[in-house]
Amino acid sequence: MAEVFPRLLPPLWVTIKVSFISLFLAFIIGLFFGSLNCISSKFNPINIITRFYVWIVLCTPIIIQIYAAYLLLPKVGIKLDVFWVGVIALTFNSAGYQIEISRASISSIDKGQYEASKTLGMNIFSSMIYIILPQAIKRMLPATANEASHLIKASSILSVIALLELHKAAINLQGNSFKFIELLVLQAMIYLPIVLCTSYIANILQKRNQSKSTKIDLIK
Amino acid sequence: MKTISLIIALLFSGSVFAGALDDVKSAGKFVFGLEVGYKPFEYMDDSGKLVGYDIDVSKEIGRRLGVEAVHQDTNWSTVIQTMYDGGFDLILGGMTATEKRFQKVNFSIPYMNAASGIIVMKDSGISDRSDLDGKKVSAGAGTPQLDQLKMSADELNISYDGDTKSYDSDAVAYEAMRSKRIDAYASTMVSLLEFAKTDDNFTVLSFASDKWSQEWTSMAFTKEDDDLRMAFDDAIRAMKSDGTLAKIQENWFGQSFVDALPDTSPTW
Repeated sequence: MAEVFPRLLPPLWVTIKVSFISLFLAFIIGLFFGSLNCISSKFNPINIITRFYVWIVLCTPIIIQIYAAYLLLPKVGIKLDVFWVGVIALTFNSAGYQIEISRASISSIDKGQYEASKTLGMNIFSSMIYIILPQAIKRMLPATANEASHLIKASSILSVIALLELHKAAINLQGNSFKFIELLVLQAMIYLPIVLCTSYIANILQKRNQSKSTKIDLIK
Repeated sequence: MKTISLIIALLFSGSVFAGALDDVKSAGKFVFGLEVGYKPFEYMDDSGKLVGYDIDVSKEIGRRLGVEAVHQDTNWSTVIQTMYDGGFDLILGGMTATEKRFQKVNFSIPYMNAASGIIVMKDSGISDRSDLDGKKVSAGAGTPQLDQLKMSADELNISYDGDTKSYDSDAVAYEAMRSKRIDAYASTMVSLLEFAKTDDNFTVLSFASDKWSQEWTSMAFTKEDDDLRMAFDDAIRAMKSDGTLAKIQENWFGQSFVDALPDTSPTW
């Protein structure tokens, strides 16, 4: 089995690319709509649309979102390479979670911070950009690293739209050798260390956040 | 007035029909859809190259039309939808011509025999499709064998153990049979024989009945692209008469099926 390992490396690179491009895009989208959600008053169109979007993403299985991207986009005249269909599907999914992550992080920032920046003569946008977001992003990072683990694993489902990522490459190898179980173990052995790394990073970020907040508590 | 509009409509539709072949010729290539992992029709060989009967046939047709043959891997259960969405010009992926599929696509003249078979473990005691009574049966997702299992049960008045399971990949089905989750798996004869070669514990039985017609492997085209289909039909006919198709079949299946292939495309 070890001799097929080199053939899984280019697909592994596809897995990593599709996961991290989606993570990056979802992070930006999440940050933008998450902060809009926190700034604006409860009932406005942006809030309602965002809530609806998050609701769709969180309440439907990812495999359906992937099929939808693959089959519905051509219907509206968007014909993309299957890699970018994968990016869109994963971004669509992950942005739903990222909006929730950034909304939670931003609203966890102490109200006093807003008041202090208001006292300094900042309007809501500059206080958001210079005061609130730098703190909120730090709090978002552990959850975002978790999201990276989730995306790397979820990218295997992109095999259903024939994107040649790690899992699909292994399926193709099975079609020739019929060695199903061996390839299953081999795939797991490749996914495992990568996801382990991202979880480890999430852990470190989590701990760093905690130790910092205790320091602040001590100063208080 | 009516005649004029009819003529205009005919002219217009004529130009649409002429489109697909011209498009292929001007692009210098045709793109065909398939799903990798259907040995010996299309699979990755040990060096990671896509090879198989379909690949050789497509190259030969490309050579005859003077264009390049480009394959596009896709999901088999949505393959027709993806062709209509513009993913590829035709399906050339070991597709069995069936009445259900014919409602959506037009078929080329057959280029391979697609007789169904059942694979079972040698020690299962199953030697005929009537032995499937009370057994766990399965077939590939979106394949005609799924329907045939049902027809077979109705015809022989037998019932299977539980629902007929459908698998996305043949390799998973074989593994499921090794672990006794299923007793029998129906697919095309040639692909089952290919697997049985690698494992002595399996044996392949014929799965034929008057309830379903003799089956053929054809290429599938959209209903609009009939000019492209006819160009492919001509190429297949030429390959049949000059022995090229027989040679490719002997290379991949160990024998030639050309003499039994009908010369007209399957319709219903």
